[in-house]
Amino acid sequence: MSATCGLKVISPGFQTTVQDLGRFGYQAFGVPVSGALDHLSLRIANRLVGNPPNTAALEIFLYGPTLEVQVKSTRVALAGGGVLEVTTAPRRLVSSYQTVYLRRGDVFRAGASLRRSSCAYLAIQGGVALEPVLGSLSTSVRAKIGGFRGRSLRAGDVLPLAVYEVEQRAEWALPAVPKDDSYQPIRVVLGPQDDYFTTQAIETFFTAEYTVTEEFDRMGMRLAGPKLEHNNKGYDIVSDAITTGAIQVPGSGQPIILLADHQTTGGYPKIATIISADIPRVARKRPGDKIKFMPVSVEEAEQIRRDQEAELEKLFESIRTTDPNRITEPEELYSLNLISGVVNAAD
Amino acid sequence: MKGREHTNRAVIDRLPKSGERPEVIYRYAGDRFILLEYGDMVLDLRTNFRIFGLNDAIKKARIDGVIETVPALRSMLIHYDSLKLEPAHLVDILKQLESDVPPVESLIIHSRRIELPIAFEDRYTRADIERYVKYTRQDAPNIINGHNIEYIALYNGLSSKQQVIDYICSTQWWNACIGFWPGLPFMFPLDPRYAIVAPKYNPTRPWTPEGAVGIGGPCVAIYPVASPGGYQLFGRTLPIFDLQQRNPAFKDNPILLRATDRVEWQPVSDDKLEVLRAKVFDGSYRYKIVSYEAFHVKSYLKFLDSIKDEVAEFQRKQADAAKSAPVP
Repeated sequence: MSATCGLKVISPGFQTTVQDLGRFGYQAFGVPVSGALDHLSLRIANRLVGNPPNTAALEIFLYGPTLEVQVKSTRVALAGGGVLEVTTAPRRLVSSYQTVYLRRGDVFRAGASLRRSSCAYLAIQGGVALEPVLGSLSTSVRAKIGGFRGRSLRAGDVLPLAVYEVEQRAEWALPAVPKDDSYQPIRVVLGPQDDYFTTQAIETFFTAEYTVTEEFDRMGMRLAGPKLEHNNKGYDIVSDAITTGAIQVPGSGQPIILLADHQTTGGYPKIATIISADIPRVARKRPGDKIKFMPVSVEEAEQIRRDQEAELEKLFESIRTTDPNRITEPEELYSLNLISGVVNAAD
Repeated sequence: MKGREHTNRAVIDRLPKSGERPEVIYRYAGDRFILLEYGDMVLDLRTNFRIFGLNDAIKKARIDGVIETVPALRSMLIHYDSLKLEPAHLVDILKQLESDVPPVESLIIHSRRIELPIAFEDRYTRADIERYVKYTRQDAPNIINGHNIEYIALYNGLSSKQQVIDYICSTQWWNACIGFWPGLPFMFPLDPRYAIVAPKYNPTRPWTPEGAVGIGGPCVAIYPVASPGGYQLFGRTLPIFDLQQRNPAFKDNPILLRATDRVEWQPVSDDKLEVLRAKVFDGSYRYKIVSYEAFHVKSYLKFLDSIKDEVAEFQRKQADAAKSAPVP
C-alpha cells in the first residue's frame, strides 16, 4: 500500500476511529461488537456518498480531525452534527448531511467543534482500503482490534482509501436535517435484572434526572444522580453476557450505560436496557447533558424501531442534488446552530 | 404488563425445575436479546454443562432469526432479529428445545484437551509484581517473597509453594466461558480436591504481562494481552491470542481457546518457556491440542461421587486456613 494514497491526518481530533455497523458473531469469544455509536448517522453519511450501509467510515468523537486529501479526488459527507470546513482555497463551509467533492491537496476540518452531539460520521465514497478483522472494519480501541491498526487516528497517519478518483457530478444533500428529539426521554425495557432493585429504586430511576458525567467513552457512559438501591439480593451476580444499551448498577448505585465497545460479560445487575431505536440518541448525549428514562414494553420498542426504519427510508428518499458550488456563509451556519441551541435549552 | 409483578417485569416465562433440570428463566434483555438463566445465582459446573447442551440444541434447530448465542457460566444471551422473530415465539421454541437437551448426566460434550506449558513465578510476572510493591502497595499481604504463590498456599492451607504447583497441575481446568476480553478463558478445576481459591488484589494491579496465569475466587484465567488485573498470579504460559496470526494455531481464529476446552498445565522452566514462546511466534511450535475427545458428564459425575469425602476434608482445611489468612 502506497503511503501517499489516502487521507492524511494533520490533527486527529479527540478520538477518531474507523467504524462500520459492528463485529457480530464473536461475542462468545469475548470480542466486543464495537461499531458506530450512532448507526443511524453512519448509515445516512454512507447513503449520501452512495456507499452500502455497512461501509466503514470515520467516527468523530467530541471534536473532529483535520485531514488532507492525498488521492486525485474524493467525495465525503458528514452526518450527525458539525460542519466541514475546507481550509485551502477555495475555502468553503459545508454543512453536515451534504456531500462535497475534494481534490488532492485540499485540507479540511470535519466536525471540529461538535456542539449538539458527541459523535458524527465522515463517510468517504468507496470507503477505506483496510483489511477486516473477524469480519468487520470496526475499531475496538480497548481490545486494539480492527480499523486502522486497532487504534484511533494519530497525526501523520495516512488512512488508505479504496477509491483514488471520483466522478464530478451534482452533490447530494438531505433537504432537512433529521429532527432534533434530544429533549425527549430515553426509552428502556426493564431488566434483565430489575428484580435486584427495591421498588423505590425503580421508581427513582423513572422519575429522577441523571447527568452524563465526563466518564464517557466508547465503552460506556457513567451517569450521576439519585442513588439506586439494590434489594437484599445485593449487587454481585454470576457474570453473564451483556448487550449494548444495558444499564448496569454497581454498588455505588450510580448507573452506567454500556455502549458499543463494552466488554462481553459483566457481574453487576442491569436495571433496564435501552431500546435499540434509542441507543443512537443516548450515544449522541454529551457530558453535562441530562437524561430521563421512560419504560416501554418490548412490543412498543419493536414498533418504535420499525417506525424508525421507515423514517430513515423516507429520509433516504428525500436526498436531492444540490449546487456543487454552493458556498454556505459562515454566519448563516452559525446562526442555524445558535437557533437550535436555543430550542434545546428551552426544553 | 398486566399480570406481571412490577419489580420483575423482565421475566417473560419460566420452566419449573423438573428432575435433574434446574428452573429455567427467560428474561428480556432489551428488544433484541433474550437472557436465559438456569437455576439459582450460583456457579455449578453441572449447570454450565447444560448450557452447552442447550447451545448445541439451538444450533441444530437452525432457528430462523437467531443471530448469535453467547453462552456464559449459567446463562445464555440470545441475539435475535426482532423484525423476523417474535420473542414470545422464540421463548416457545426454547422451551420446546429443553426437552431435546439430554439430562445432564447423559450429556456428551465435544471438548478439546489442550496442554499448555507454564513457568511458575516466571521473570515477567515477577517483574510486574515487584512494580506493584514499589509503586502501588508496599504492604500487600498477598505478596510473599516477591510473588503470589506462597500466599495462595497460606490461604488454602497448603504446606508449600511446591504443593500449590502440584495442585494446579493435578487437575484439568474446564473453560466454562470466554469473556471480559477477547479470548480470555474463565476456567474451573474439574477435580475439586485441588480447587484452590484466592481473593483478588486490592487495589488492582496496574500491570500484568500477556500470557500471565492467575486465580480470582475459584476461577483461573489467562491474560490474552498485557493489561491491569486483579488475579493472584501463578506464572506465565504461551500466547492465547494473536491478531497477527504468527502461528498455525491462530490461522482460522486469532483466539486459541473455546468454551468447553479442558486445559492441562505442564510445568517448564522460565528459560524453556522463553524458547517455546519464540517458537510460537516463528510459527514452528505446534500447540498440543487433542480435538477428538468427548467429555462424558456421566463418568465425570461418578468420579465426583467417588472423591466426595476427600473433597469435604480439603474444603474443611481450606476454610480454616482462609479464616486466619490476611486478605488484601
